Amino acid sequence: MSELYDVIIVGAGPGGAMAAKVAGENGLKAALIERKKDTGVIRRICTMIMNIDERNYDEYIHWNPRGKKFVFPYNGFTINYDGPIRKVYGFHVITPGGKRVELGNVPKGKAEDKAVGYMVDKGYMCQIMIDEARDNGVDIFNNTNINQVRKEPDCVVLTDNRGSEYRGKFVIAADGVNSRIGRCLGFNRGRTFLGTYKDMARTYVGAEIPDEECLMFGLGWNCSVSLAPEIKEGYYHVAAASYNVADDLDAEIDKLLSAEPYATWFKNAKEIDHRSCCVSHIAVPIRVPFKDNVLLVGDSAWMQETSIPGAIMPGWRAAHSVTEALIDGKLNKEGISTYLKWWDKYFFQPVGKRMASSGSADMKDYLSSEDIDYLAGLVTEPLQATMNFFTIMSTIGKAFGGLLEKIGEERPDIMQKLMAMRSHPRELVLAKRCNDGCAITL
Amino acid sequence: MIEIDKEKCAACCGCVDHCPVAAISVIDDEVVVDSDICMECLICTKVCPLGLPHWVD
Repeated sequence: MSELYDVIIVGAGPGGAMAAKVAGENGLKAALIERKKDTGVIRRICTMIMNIDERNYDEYIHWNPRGKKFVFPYNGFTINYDGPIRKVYGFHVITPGGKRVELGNVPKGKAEDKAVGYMVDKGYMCQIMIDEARDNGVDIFNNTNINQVRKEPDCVVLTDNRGSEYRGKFVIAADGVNSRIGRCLGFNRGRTFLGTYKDMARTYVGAEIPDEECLMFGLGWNCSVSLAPEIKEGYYHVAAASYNVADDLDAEIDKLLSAEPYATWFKNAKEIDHRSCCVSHIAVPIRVPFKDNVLLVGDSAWMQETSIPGAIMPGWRAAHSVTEALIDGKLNKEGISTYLKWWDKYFFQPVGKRMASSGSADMKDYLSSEDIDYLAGLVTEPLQATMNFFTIMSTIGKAFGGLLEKIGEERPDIMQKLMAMRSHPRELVLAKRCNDGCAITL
Repeated sequence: MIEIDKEKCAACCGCVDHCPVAAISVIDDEVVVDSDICMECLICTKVCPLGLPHWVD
């Protein structure tokens, strides 16, 4: 029979790598399992941003440039990072007519050196944590796909694609948004399905983009489109995403790049031989991310994009809770209760609960490209800079709150559409998402 | 059976995640379908953002 670990961590992304590092530092007999062979390479689309100096999950992350580390002062830990960094000064909404709603003024942010996001090499950042875990005696199994999990009286047994078994007193599942462990344990039953989100990106070099040090998100196209700098200077990625698996994302990117002003931006750009993608099975966040001695962390317990810090923090907390449980000799839910309380207080109650009721009508079903151009043109001053995905919408909402009267007078037709969109029944949205997506894995 | 165009595959592993019977694995960073396990439900063909998994007779 295989040896019994104190804890097995599945998934070597930011959450799992952090959990493995902490488990090693705490002296646990631990294993980290990753399906990729090359742990330091990120293969999915990712903007790889750490949001800095703004409140998120009741944490306020700070970068220490001399010590080369990200500091999480509220939780009380740091992570080392000596790789490349690219500063990002905000988040802009772009429209088909070339209008731009700015959350964060890029030239001003640069002049004052006030970035809200630090783009990092996420693969390298994870590799640093994995190496630290290995140095502290954690067994690393790469190239290993875990696809079964079962509970035995004294342990959790994981089985990989070759039939090998791994036994642990606890398991920390950090296997991401489409968590197989979560699914195998029945976590998805009863979770409202919010859609299958399909995403594809192309990388370009040589694009000339005004105020490019920000994320740009397009409204008014058939799919969601976005533009973002990559960590490598001069590289830029253009992405299209949709809740409808039948949508042609390639065609949507072509459409974006063939219309002005975007065609000019990419006039001299060359698509390099690189294409990344990802597909997410999106369901509402899990309130109690624990069952059968398995703790879920990061995206596996969330819906999508809990963000890098949002994965690192639960990884850190979960590994400490497992340590406490082992010291107390309580190999059960009570033993790791600090993790569950912490998750409920800082993740589920303040953010997760709100996301659990999300699912609003698609803007494109109500507003034409021209309507969106008009609305975006109303916001002439840059809004407050943010990289916090959970407050972006409310920041935009607040700006439009003050403009409603003007819209009602100038464009009663658009006002009517906005009101109709607001009262669109959620059940219809969810039914459409089920129909357009692939909910079979529930 | 299902085949995946390896040249174009970005190994995002979306099909690996969505496969209901875990017939798809990533081995040496390459996505591989085990046709003994595969029940040919075609879910992988729907979820792949690059549209790569396809049916061959």
